[in-house]
Formats: sequence, C-alpha cells, structure tokens
Amino acid sequence: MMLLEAAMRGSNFKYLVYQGLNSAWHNRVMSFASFCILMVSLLMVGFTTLVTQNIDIIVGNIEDKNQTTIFMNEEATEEDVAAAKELLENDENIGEVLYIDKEQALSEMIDKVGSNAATLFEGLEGENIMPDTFQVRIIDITKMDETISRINKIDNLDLVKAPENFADSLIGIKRTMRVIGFAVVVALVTVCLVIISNTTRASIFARRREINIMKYVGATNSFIRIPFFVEGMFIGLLSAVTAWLLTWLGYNSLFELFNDGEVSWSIMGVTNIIPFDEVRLKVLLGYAVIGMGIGAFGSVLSLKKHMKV
Amino acid sequence: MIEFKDVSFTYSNGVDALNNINLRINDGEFAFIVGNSGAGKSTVVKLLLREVAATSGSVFVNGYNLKKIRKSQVPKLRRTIGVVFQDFRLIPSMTVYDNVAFVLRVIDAPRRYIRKRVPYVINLVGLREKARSYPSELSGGEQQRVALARALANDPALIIADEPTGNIDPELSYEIVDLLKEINRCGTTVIMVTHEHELVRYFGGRIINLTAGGIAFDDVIGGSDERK
Repeated sequence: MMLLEAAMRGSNFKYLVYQGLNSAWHNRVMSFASFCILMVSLLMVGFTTLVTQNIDIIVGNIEDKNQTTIFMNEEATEEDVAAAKELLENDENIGEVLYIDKEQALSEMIDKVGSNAATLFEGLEGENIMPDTFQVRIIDITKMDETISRINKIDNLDLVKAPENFADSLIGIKRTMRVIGFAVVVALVTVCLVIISNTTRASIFARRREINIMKYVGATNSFIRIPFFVEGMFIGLLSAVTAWLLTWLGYNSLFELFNDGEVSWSIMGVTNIIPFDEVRLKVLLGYAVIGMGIGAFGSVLSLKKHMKV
Repeated sequence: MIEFKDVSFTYSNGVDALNNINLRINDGEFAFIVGNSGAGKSTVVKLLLREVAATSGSVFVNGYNLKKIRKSQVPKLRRTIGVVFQDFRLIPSMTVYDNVAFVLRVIDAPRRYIRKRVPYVINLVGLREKARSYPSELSGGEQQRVALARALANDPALIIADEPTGNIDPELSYEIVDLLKEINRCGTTVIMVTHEHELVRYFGGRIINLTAGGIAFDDVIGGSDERK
C-alpha cells in the first residue's frame, strides 16, 4: 500500500480523455443521433438569433427615419420661435431639428400644388397663411410620449404631428421578435438537454457495470464523470463546428441575396444586414459554448443515478 | 483491523438486517462469515464498503471510522479494500490484463507501476497465459481468478470475498479458497462470506455464523481433510 501511495500521481487526464473519445466511437449510433439533434438545434438557435438581431437593426433603421412635425400658431413671435428652436435642440431625445420658416413653407406649398396654386391662394395675395414649422427626429421612440409632452410646453404652439401609432407598431415588433427569439432559444436548449441526456443514458447503461466496479475499487466521482463529460463535450464541439460551417454557408447566401443590386430591398427597409464575417467568431464561440455545455451537462445529468454505490 | 461496536442496521423498508452486532477481526486474520439467506451477511459487506451506514453503533475498517467518514473519504477507504463478487463483475470488453489494470488506472497509479504490478498479480492467480483473453473466453473458475487478481491489484490491506464460489464448480471452489488462504499467508486480512458449509468445514479457521441479524457463533474450528 505504501509503495502504491508513494507512486500515486496527479489525475490521469490523458487516459480519461481517451476513454471519453473511445466511448463516443463505441456508441457511434447514439453519438451520431446526439450530434444530429444538437447540430440542428444549434442551427435553429443561431439563425433565430441572427434573424432577431437583423430585424432589430432593420427596425432600428426604420425608427431612425421617424419624423415629428411641430407647427407654431399665427401669434408666434420671432422670440417664441427662437425659444422653441432652443428647447428642441437641447432636448436629449431629439436628433436633428429642421426649422422651416413661413416663407419657405409657402414656397414649398406652391411648388407642391404647382399650376393649381393660383386658384388655391386666390384672395390671399400678400398674406402668408403658412405657419413656422419644425421637423425633428426622435432618437428613442419608446420615449416618444414623454418627448411630445415636453414639446407641448412650447409657447404659441399650434399642433404636434407625431407618428405615435407607427412608433407603437415598431416597439411591438421589436418586443415580439425578442420574446419569440428568447422562447425559441430556451425551448431548443431544453429539448436538446433532454434528448442528449436520454441518448447518453444508453451509453451509460452499457457502462453501468464499469461504473459500479469503479465505485467499489475507490474511483472518485470526478474520475467517473470525466469520460462522460469528454464524450458529451466532444459531440457538442463537433455539432458546433458543423452548425457553424452550415450557418456560414446559409447566412452568406442570404446576405448575397439581400445585397443584390438588382433588387431594391432597401425600399422595404432591409438595409445594413450584418455581414457574417463581422459575427463569425461570436457565432462559433456561442455554438461551442452551448454545444459543449449541453453535451457535457446532458451526459452528466444521466449519470447521477448510477453514482449511488 | 475491523471492528463492529453495537452495530444495528435497518433497511428503509423497515427490515432489521443486523441487531446489535459486536465483532473484531484483527489484521492478517482469515474469517469466514456464514449464514443462511437473510441472515445479514450481505449487509455486513455493504457496511464494510460503506455502501450503507449503520443505523446505530460504530464500524471501524482499516483505520476509518465509518460513522464519521466524509463522502469524499469513501473512495480512499475503498482503495484499502479488494472485493471479489459472486458474479465476478468483469468488464466483458476488456482483456484479463485490462480488467486488472483498470483498478490501478482508477486510482491514478502511474503507468510504470501498472506495467509491473498487473503481470505480477495475474501470474499470482495462475493466469499468465490468459492475460490477453477476454472474460467470455474463460471458465467460471478462471473468471473468478481474474476478479481475485483485480482485488489484489492495488495491494489492499483487506480482501472481502462475497460468495466467491457461488457461481463456479464445487471443485474449483477449493482452488479459489486455496488462493485466498495463500493471499492471507502474505499478511492480507481476508473475509470470505459464504453459505457453503462443506467448504468452511474443510478449511476450518475462524467462523462467524450470522443468524437473523445476530452472531450465533464466532470461534475457530479445525479443518477436515475430506473434500466433497
């Protein structure tokens, strides 16, 4: 005993890793099943995340194009207009402020109505009925109501025309997409965990005698767990890399489609799609962490029952 | 050394397996534990391996107080014990050599030690020629010898043989006990649990007879010369 104890050394990690890989190969049918399930799930998680992020960007682009028009009333003096301009420019949630004075507004209106201008402005010669106007862009449309209440405090204000319904719709779309994306990811991860745990149960069942003997001869729990951990992580890693390559191919094909010069996707707001090169490392890392995590955790989950000796 | 002090054990279904047992087995002893089914033999083995903990009383094995032992210490306790089971419990996908080496790998023994120790114990049980065979290619007696070699691999202070002759021919049973006796002569404590009274009568020695969870008899008897 003394001789053996003296000869003891640190964890025989290489042996355990070999055992894990060997087990994955021995149970190759089950390993392949786990690999396929995990890979498809990772693909779905990846695409859901990428689509959600792109929709976020597209909605963001549309948001950026929002325009609120502020009309001053007839009594507004030059001082009122200057004060309004200052208030708008200093508001933290207002981006660009464009001031259109009465004359400019009138000439724009005349330009718009064209040949019918003479009929329209008949009897109003020398009189300008157009108001002083501001066109502003709201930065964060979720805070549109608060911003409009601040605008409403301007003296001699006539009317504020804000795209409130449009803002509500965009906020709704964004929120729904995030919830759907999150739900899909959670559901897939859960399903994966259950399936991997079940498939590895077969491999554990095949090795239950080995586990039982290990316990009787004094193996620590970690010694027993490591090969299963390695097996699960290996399958997870393989699935992650394969899913990543498929995502790369699939996403790039879609990217090329949306960036096709002949089709004007930008009209529909589909601009600034994230190029895969920009996110490829993040996607690989995400896939690897989720894949290996599910693989390892799923394997160990099934082990618990067999460890009680 | 093994000591049971006022040990009782009741299973979760309410069955009383052991009632107030007091027992001491010194280092280097050979003891037979005999008794009919349900007498508590298996429970004694389970207690020695700390598979279960005594409901009351204290169990001491190789310097460990099993009442106070931490979970993390249990593997260390088990490394001081070699176990032989009735059903051999060999790994079918491993050769004789690997089945024995497996124990040493489990306890993190260095490769050099494994390469020296495994052929030594395989030789000790007389299976040098079968080192590359798989369990399915061996007879019951040979498989039990492999199990014995595996129990010896980490040079334990105590060997527990739980019905080691239960699954083999009566003639081969004597060989297995001969081997255990030989191991005992080298200083290892051996506890053999069995219900084969002829075998016990033949070899003699210390006999602990369990009946209905209590010790009915604990004494040394002389062996006979007659093999059945």
